[in-house]
Amino acid sequence: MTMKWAIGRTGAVLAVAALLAGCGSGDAAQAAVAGGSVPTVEPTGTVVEVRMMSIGGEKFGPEELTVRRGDVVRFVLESGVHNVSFPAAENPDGVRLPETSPYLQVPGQHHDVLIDLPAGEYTFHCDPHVFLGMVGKLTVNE
Amino acid sequence: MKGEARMKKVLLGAAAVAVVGGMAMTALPGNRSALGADIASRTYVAPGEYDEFYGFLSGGYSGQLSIWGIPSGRMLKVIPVFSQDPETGYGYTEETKPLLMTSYGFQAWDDSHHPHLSQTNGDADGRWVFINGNNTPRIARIDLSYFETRETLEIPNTGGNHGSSFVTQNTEYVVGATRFSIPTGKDVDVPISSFKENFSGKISFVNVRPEDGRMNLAFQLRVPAYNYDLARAGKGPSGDWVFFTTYNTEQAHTLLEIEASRADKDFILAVNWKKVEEAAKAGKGRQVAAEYYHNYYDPSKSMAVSERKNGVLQLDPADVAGAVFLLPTPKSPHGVDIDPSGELIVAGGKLATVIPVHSYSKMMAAIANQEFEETIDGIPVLRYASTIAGEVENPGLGPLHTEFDGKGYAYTSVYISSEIVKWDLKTFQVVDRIEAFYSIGHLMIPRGDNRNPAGKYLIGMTKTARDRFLPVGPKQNHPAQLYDISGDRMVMLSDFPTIGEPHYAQAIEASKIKDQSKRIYSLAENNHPYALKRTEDARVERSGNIVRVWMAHIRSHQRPDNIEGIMVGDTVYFHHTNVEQDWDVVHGFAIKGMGTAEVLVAPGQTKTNIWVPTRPGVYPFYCTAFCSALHQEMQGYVRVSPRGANTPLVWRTGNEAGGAVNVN
Repeated sequence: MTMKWAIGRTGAVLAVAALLAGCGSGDAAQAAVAGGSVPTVEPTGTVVEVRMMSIGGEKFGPEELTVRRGDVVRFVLESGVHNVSFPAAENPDGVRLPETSPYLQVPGQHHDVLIDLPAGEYTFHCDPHVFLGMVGKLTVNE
Repeated sequence: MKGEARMKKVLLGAAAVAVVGGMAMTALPGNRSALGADIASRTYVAPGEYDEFYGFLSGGYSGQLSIWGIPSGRMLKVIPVFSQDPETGYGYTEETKPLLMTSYGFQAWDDSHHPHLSQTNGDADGRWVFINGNNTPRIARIDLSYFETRETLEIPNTGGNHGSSFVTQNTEYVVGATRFSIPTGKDVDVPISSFKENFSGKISFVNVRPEDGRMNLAFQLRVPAYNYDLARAGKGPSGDWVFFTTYNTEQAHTLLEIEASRADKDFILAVNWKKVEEAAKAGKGRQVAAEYYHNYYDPSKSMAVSERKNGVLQLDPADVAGAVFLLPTPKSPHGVDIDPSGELIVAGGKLATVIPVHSYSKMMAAIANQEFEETIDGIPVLRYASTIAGEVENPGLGPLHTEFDGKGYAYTSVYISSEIVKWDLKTFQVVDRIEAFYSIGHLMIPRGDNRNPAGKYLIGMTKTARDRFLPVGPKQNHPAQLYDISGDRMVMLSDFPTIGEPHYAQAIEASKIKDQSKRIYSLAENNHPYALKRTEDARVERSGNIVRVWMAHIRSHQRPDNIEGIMVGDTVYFHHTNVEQDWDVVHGFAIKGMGTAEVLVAPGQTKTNIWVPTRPGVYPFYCTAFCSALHQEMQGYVRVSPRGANTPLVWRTGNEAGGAVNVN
């Protein structure tokens, strides 16, 4: 199978990879929210990138970030195979957390999360690599 | 044979008559081998759906244990037990090699016959499955949460651990019975012709630690120099007893084909294990010389370890009054099986023309009334007429093994006439029979040896396929045949080839096991001394001619993936850790010219293989298990220089780690 990949400086990728990821193509309005339900927040149009890496240690880059409610966090695969999940046990009770992403396998593939969360601090991680320290902290401001 | 009990029915001399009888019974209406669409649907398990039962089939001469879905006949897994397995690296990696150690050295192969699930109150509980190694006598324990061999125990002073590995009703013990009697003592050099003077049999009792299944050879019982064939523990009222079949009570040591088939009957040996246990605890018996290996998975090291042991407590029947008896049984009996109530002791006289059924309560009464016809080596021989409950007539030729449906019926495999006969446990009348293709050995009903069998299906395991499948040359795989036994008549549903030669098998409801199956090995609990808990700790170290590589495996690279400075004559330990914690994402490792096997490393595991390069060169290595979209990129090189070269020992992983060179 031959695929043409168009990978920009940021590692964002075009439609084919987005289809593989099973999520939106980067349109913030299409980004995943919990349960596939209708977002309750008006998208701001701002996209903040977080890279997912395996080489030289399994980590998110950056590992801590601050966004506004309505921003999109775009998780972009740089190397390895990763996902992103917001574990209920390590996040505030009673909050509708983003759905766990599919596994991203191809460098440049991305997964968008529309931040439809109350202001506060949240933890996310990569399920197969949490033990190796692949954990991130998200601060949401109104 | 010395005992001369009366026999009502007998023997292979009556074969012609029996065949006529068998044919008459076979002429029942309806061709139940002609499969219709409704029959196909009864074995159909839709894609993505689960089977109703796990089936555990012994591997016979493969030495392994295979797991199958029932009723679909889908193979789920082969668990390596007694034989090396290059597919997974079992028996090749340093973590698993100890499981194949014996007092006769490393054994690359054995012959596994009788899987038996651990029991609670006489019903399979799904914690472990035990299986015997027949050739170099051993018992293995397979854990049914990781589905892997966790322990092997050598059984000393025996030859051919065939009457094994059957558990008592609460898994207090798993037993072993020597098929071959051998000279008494350790490494005894005597003429084979001194069989009657110098040889003896041994029955071994291995206790099982309830919390983790750890086995321990508790004691052995010295018994007459016969061949011991199969065993079953009692249950319910007979739960303190274990029953063993004997043959070659003629004590032949050559041409058993003729010499061991002369007597009208041999025996079932009945042993009250509780009384023998009490005697052992009371200090009866004596320590005798024995050398054997006990190998087990050590969670504190996350690998198997070996212990060499010496000596075993041995008791004679004379040490334990009222605990050991012989029940005369026609004729070279093979199987001995206990009905769900624990009352009926069913023998398969492989050369007999009836199925003799002893009664436990009659046996106990005969013991109380001392209805003995003689004593052999201190063991009272009960009168046949005193213990027999009945004989199933017209069972076909060569009845072998019996299981039960929990609804009042027994099912016996019959080798020579190649059929399964169903008979009524109250009337001892045959009520149905069906052909087996071809030459059936064991049969199995899910939990069909338990107090509460799940009597819906029956699997017969046959010895030859002949024309059953597309032909694949002179040697073909052995079939298993699935029957529906939920109705009055047995119906054959399907026929599928198996692995090795399944002898016995067991099955249990999937609901009792599936939720305990582990998805990963916990990296946090990985206590292997060469485990990696962080990929950043991957490294290479030299100590003299020993080079150790701590290699991290993560989709989709190995760290390190370039190594230089290895020299011809070095011994290279590759310690592979799959640092991922993702169900069923397995990494493999192989390097050109390795000479052993690949290594599969499941998530969270550490496995080690040793490589001794003999030629200079640049050696590619790669991940052998397709793990990700970039699996084919998961590769590396090792540079091997001539002995004495001054190539520095360096390693790297990509540009990012380019500066991180470790030279020792």
